[in-house]
Amino acid sequence: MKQRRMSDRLFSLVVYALLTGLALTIVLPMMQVLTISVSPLNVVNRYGFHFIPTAFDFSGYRQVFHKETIWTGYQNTLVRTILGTGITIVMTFLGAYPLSKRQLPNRAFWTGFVVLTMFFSGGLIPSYMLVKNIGLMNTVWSLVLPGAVSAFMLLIVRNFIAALPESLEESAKIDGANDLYILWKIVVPLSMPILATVALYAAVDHWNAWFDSMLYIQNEKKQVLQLILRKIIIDGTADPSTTGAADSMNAPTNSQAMKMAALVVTMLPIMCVYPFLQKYFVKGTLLGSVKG
Amino acid sequence: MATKTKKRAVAVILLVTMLAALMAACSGKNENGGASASGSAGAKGSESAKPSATAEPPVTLDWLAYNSYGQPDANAPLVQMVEKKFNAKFNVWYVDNQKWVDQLNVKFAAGEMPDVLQIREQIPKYVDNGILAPIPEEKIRELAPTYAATIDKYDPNLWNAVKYDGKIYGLPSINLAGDYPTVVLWRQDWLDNVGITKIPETLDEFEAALLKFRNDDPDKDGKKDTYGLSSFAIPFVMGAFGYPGNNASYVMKDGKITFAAIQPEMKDALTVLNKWYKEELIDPEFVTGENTGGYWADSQALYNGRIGLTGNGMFYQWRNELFGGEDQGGGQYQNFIKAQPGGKLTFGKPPVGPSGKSGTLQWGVNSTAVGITNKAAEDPRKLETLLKMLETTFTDYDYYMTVLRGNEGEDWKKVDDSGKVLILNQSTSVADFSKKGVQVFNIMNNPDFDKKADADLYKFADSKKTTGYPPVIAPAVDSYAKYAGDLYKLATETYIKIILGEQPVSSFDAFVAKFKANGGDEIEKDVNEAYNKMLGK
Amino acid sequence: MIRRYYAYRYFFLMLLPVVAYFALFHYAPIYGVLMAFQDFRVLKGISGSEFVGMKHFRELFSGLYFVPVLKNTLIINAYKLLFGFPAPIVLALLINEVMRPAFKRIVQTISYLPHFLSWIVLSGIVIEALSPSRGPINIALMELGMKPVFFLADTDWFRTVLVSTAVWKNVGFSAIIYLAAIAGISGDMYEAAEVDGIGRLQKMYYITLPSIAPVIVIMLILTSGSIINDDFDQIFNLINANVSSVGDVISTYTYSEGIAKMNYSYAAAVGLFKNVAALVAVLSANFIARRFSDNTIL
Repeated sequence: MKQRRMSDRLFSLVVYALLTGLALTIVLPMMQVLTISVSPLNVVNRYGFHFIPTAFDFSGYRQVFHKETIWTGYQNTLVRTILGTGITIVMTFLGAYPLSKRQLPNRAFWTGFVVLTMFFSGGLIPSYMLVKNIGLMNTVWSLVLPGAVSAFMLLIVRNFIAALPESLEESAKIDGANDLYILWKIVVPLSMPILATVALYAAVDHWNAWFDSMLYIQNEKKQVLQLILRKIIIDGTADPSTTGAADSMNAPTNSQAMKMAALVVTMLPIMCVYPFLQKYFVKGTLLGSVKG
Repeated sequence: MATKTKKRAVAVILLVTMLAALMAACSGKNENGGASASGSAGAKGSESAKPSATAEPPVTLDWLAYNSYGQPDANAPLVQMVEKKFNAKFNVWYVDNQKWVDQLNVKFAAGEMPDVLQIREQIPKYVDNGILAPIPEEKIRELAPTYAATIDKYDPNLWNAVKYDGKIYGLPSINLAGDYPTVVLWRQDWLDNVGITKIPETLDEFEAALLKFRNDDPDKDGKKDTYGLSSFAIPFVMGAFGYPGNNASYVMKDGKITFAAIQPEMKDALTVLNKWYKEELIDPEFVTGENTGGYWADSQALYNGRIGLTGNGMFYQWRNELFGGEDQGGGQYQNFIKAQPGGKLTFGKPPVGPSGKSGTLQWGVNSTAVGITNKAAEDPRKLETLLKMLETTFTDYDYYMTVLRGNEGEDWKKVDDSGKVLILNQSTSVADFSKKGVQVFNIMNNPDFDKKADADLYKFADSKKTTGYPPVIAPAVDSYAKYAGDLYKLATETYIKIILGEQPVSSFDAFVAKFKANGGDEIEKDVNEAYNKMLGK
Repeated sequence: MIRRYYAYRYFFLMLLPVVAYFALFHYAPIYGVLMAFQDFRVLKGISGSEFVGMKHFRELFSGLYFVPVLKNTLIINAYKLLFGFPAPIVLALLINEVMRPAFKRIVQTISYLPHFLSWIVLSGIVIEALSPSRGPINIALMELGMKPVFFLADTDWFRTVLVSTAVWKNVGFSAIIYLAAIAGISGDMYEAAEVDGIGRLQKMYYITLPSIAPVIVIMLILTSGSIINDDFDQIFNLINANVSSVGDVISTYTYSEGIAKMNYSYAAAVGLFKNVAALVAVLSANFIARRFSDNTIL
């Protein structure tokens, strides 16, 4: 008995050590980023660990906050996240509910019509031409419409609704409720958990998206935060003698502190929000995968 | 069975109708979409053009002939001034400067193109895709004679760089900084500490100094923690043997283009570097590069007091002579001073090799050319306006300074009669300048006016000027794009291995054979053919 | 027939915007695959460019670059599967062994963090954390008297960086499903084991692991279908010229050929090839999944 206790204790030790190790691989780099963002240049360029600030210099943050595009980027990201998530929820539900009805005429065909899009795309250039031709260039619509519905999410929602007990709807019908009433008072409330999941995923995707903004938005003030951040990080890293870029004398250069400050500014909202949302994500992941 | 086919038919009809409606929607809105990209700029432009006295309506130019670090404001006074002056209306395009080529190529594929643009892509590619229009040389010499003469003065070869099939497809531009070789920098305080009074000039003197840097404790901390050099200095050590660098760059040899990396002289250079490595003169971290992140010219090894000899950067980055006022010198010099408060730097010269050769890397004066598209070529006024604008930047100093630096008295002022200029708000970022329309219409830099405006800086630069190896202006060929990446890697890896002693110097010959067989020969053949074709030989 | 559609008219009215959306944004651009069979020239457009048949597809396999890129894609994805798949299982098993709820919650919360950050943010963090002069690993190496490694610019290390950062980003979040499966195991079995005096490691091995085995099998099949789908966001933000020979994958290659180098048609051919390969992979994974259980992707 005693021997077992020993081995169990050793086992516990290993478990705690491994988990602490994993947490450190996440926490330490974050601390380094934070430290560099508030450090003066001579500290930044010094060899060695940089986990805890030894001297303070907030010029990196000043430079970041001075940049107008950071603020407009924040605003644009917020707008696209809210608008895009709203559109995604509504559209996904509009598609999922009819397709969940087994008696829907040609249900297989319409489902197939949706599913097939998971496997084919015409490529970047036709998509670009489409967005341009329907007049979405340089608008927030070019960021929220092309990816509005994910076929995969739609299927998950469809399966969820299909698994709801039919009897509820039927008894309401017998009571004389009309279809719209049933939809609004019964189906929608019951689908809330899965719609919340869709919303959370869509919101994270929108917050982190940048490629579409790079392609479709040619107005710097309308670009999203991630892209602005990318620019700040990359500026000045390429050697003009190898890239053949034009005169570098006037090219912008950003200090490492400024880059890290921009990172912190971009990460902060997510870092503040996600711990409170994680339980919904956990629930959503399970709903999605079990039914999927 | 019957119902099934019926069902299918209905489905198909529905789908077809929908697609048809869709296509109609696409084609209907076509023009709208194109205009919306730059609509606001256009509207503002027409307003300001109204007071123009000329009977002729202003010529519209879709403008992308600038470094788009930021997006210009369409109703900035500067934009309106230029519009009025040349009776033009500008739709200033904005593409992210870092993703310039990518963004522009998507636009091209979708059939959009500006009128005037910087040519950052290989000219043959643009010409084959029907983007660039030829520019007749007579027209350039007629409408922009001062500009043409300036190009002739700096390097007539520049005209070749913009040729394809003997025709000119772009207006060459000059990067004045590229006229100056990259620097050779010594830590003066280290030289003092080890008792060297004369800045080393020959390869042997270099080695003697570096040996002392390694062994005589130049930083006086009692520890043997210093080296001589790291990766930035290697090109000019090789330069002592006739060619700088170990990458896939071209050199001209007996009138033929070939690669620097495979020249037999490089074997001697590697022998020396290998010896130096064994003597511990080279920081072992040179393998990961002297710059470990951040701005490319930063040398963390120098900032951390590991090495006493560096290079690679430009005079303006390392300027250690202060011009008074709040001037603190070049950016990298400032970084160095902050990291090594007592440190002193001095500009040296590249070492002279056994056969008397010497030189550092040099970018060359060839800079991004400006071209006009086939769309613009439909209206001859567009090219004429462009050339007139260009000529003005080469003849009218005040106009040039205004489009390059902003408003006189607000952004800059003349300090004396020579035309020397003082920039008033140093802290304004390039992006903010772009917003005001600054650095948008200068088309390219005028080297003579730049020297005049920045007299102190160029006086300093001239005093530190050493010998350099400018790159060969060669036409781009497909096989280069195809193989160069791998060849570059092969050369770099082999060189590093030989320097580290992981591979004997004698393996150089095998490397040369491999280099040639894996695309080297093919590129050489293609590039020489293209070179002759470009020149019309 | 029409009557049946009429009976469901409101449902179709709901469905209409969704169908229109898919038609417009997913089906309409498909004509773009024509480019793969043309020599696309900007000035001529898709309607005017010359058709060249399978030329670009032949070039795929005779050319110098596509085969290495395909190899990179498969190797990187295989490693990501090899390490990325078991990692969350191990993590879930470990977390399950933690008795202190506070520690459990903190570790879990921290482990989710990278999942919520974009690759732009993460690449900034990774570049900083692997810096040869400041990165903790390199500092440790130097303290031990070894040479620092420029992980992001070293062809021997770059794939390791890709694989480990991908695992690092997702391990916490992917563990959720296994934790849920573990939570569903009946306590009786553990109690019975307790009576038999079995140690914790054995319990994990003999009870927990077999109990979640069905979930593991399903997840394995589902993930293996994505073997050809590389992570553009990750690689695009981390890759540099030094390591493109080992890190360039199909999506980044398509991007650089098609957009940066204007080889529009060739890139379209690469894209089409990838789409077909991905379809085959997913369909076979789905087929296998169907044979093992009723859990399918479709």
